[in-house]
Amino acid sequence: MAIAVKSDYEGSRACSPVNEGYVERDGVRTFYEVYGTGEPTILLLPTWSLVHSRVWRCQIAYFARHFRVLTFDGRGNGRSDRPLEPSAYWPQEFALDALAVLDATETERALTVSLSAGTAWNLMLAALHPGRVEGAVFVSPTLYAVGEPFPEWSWLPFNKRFEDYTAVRGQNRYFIAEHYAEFAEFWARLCTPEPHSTRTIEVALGMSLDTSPEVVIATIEPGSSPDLSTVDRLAAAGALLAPLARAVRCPTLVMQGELDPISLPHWARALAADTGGQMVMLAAAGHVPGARKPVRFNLELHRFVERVAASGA
Amino acid sequence: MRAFEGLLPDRVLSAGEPTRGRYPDEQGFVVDEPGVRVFYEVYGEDPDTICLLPPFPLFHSRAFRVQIPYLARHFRVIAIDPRGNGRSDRPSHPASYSRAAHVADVLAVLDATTTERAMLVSVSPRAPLALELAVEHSERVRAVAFITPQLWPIKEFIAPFTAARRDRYDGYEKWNRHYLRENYEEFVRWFAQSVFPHPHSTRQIEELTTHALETDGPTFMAALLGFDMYERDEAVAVARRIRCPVLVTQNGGDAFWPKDTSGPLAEATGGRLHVFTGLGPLVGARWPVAMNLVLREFFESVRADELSAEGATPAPEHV
Repeated sequence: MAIAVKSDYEGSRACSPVNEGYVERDGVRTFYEVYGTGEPTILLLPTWSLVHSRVWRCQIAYFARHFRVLTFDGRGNGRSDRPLEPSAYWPQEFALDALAVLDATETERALTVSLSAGTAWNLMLAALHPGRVEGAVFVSPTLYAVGEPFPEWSWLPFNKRFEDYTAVRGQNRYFIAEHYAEFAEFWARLCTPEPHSTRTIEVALGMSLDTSPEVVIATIEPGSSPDLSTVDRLAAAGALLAPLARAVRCPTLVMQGELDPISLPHWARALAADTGGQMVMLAAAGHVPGARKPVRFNLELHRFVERVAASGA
Repeated sequence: MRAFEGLLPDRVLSAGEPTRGRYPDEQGFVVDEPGVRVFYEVYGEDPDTICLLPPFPLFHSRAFRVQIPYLARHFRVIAIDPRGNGRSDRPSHPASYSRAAHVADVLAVLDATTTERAMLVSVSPRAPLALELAVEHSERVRAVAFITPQLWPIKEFIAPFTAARRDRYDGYEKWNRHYLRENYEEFVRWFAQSVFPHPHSTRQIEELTTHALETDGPTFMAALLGFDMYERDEAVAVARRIRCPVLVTQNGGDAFWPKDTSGPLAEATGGRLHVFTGLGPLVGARWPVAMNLVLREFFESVRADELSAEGATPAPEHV
C-alpha cells in the first residue's frame, strides 16, 4: 500500500539554523546549515542521496542545545545541486564537500557522524584528514562490507531487466527508473522494521521524492558495471575501506541496530575492531536508529562526544 | 478503607509492558470494605502533588504514560488504576462502580500516600469524580484540571445504548449494551481507531487496545452502568460551588467527543478554558507536548498563587 505524501512532509522544525549557506565545487553547489553555538562542533554527514539532511531531524535540536551542529544536503538531494554524471557521486566528492563546509563555517575540527553509505566519506575524512576530525561515529556502516554473509537485499542484480516488477523490489536500475516511488517506499520500509514507523517512512519518502530516479541511479553507477552484482560492489567497497579504517587514529564509535536488515552486525563489529573503537548495539532498532530510537541514540552519541571532548581537553 | 498490607513485588508491571520513561517511587493498593483493591503509584517527592484521577476503564493509569515523566520532574504525581482495569480489581456488580466508591478510592489513596491536599486531573467522563471531590472534599483539593470534561450522559450514546439488538452495528450504534457486552474486543478495536484518526497513531491505537483488553465486556458494562453522571442543571449548580482554581481543556478535533460541557463548566467555576485548536480528540496521548505544557503552566500558577497568598517569597522559577 502506498503512503500518501503531503507536500509539507517536513513539518515544523524543533529548532532553526543560526546560519546557512552554500559551498561550490566544480560547479556543484552544496547547501549547509549551522545550529547552535556551543563546543565542540558535530558534523552530521549526508548519507545516500536518496534522502537529505533532514534524516538527522531528531538529532539536530537536541545536540544544538549542547554543542554546535553542522549539516549539509548531500549532492543530489535537498537544496543541493543534482548533477547527473556518476563521477559527481564518488565518495571522495562527499568528503571534499564536507571539508568545504568545514572551511566555509570556519570550523577547524569537528566530530563527524555518518549513517549507512556515509561510512565511506567519514572514513576518508577521519583517515586522510586527521587534523579536522576529533572523533568519528559510524551509524549502520553499510559499505563496510568486509565479509559474508551479505544481506538479502544485496543479491538483486542491478542491471538486469525483469519482465515483471510486481514481486521484484530493490536496487535495480529499471525498478528505480520506472517505479521510483515504489522503490523509495520499499527502501524506507526496509530501513525501519520497527513497529510504529509510519512517520519516519513518510518523512523518508518525502525526501526521496525530492530528487529523481536519474540522480539515484547515478549515485549507484560508479561501481556497477554490468558484470558486477550489488554484492560484488559492496565487497569491493569493503576492501577499499578496510585500509582506511585501520589508518584511523581518532576515537571512534560504531552504532548498530540489532534489527537492521540493510547493514549487518558483523560489518559494524569489524569496523569497530579495525578503527580500535567502541561498538554499541541498539536493541529493537533498525537501520536508522537516530530516527526511530532518538532518545537512546542521542544519549549514546552525547556520551561519546563528552568523552572525546574530555580527552582532548 | 485501609492501605493494603499484602506483599508487593519491588516493581509491579503489567505483563509485557514496554519500558517506562520513569518508574514509580512507591506503589500500593487501597482496599474498601467489600475488599475491592485499587492500585496506585507515586512518582517523585515534590511537596506539591498532582493526582491523575482513575480514568474511564477502557483506559487505566498507563494512559498517562507520556504525562507522568514530564509532570514528575516538577511535581509529585499520583496515578490510580480505575476499578475494573489495570492492576485494580474487577468487581462484577455495577454498584461497585458508583461515583461514591470512586471518591472513596481517591481519598483512600491520598491518605495512604500521606497527601494532605492534591491538584486533580480528570479525563472526559470522570469529570464528575473531580467535581464531587472539589466540592464535597474541598479541604483535600487545591485545584482541578478537567480535560475534555463530560458531566452528564452523552445524548448521542443514550439511544444506541438502549436500542434493541440488531444484525449489524455501525459507528455509534456500537455503543449498544448487547453489542458492548458480547463484542467487547471488536468494540475496542473500533473505538481505538475512531479516537485516533490521525496519521502516525499506530502506537497510540495499539496501546489503547492493549489497555482496554486488560478488562472485559461485562466488567466494562458494570462500570458504565454503575458510575453516576450528573443531570445537566445539577452539574452546573454543583460546579458553581467550586472555590479552587480550575482549568478546563477542550479538544479541537471533530470526532464524536462532546463539546457541550467545557464552556458551561468553565463559566460556572470561573475557571480558565483552554481549547486545543486543531488537536484532538485524545490530546494527551497524541500531542503530549501541547497537553503537558498546558497542565504544567496551570499547576505552576496554582503553586505560585498560593505562595503569594501566604505572603511567602515565591520560589525561583522552576526550570
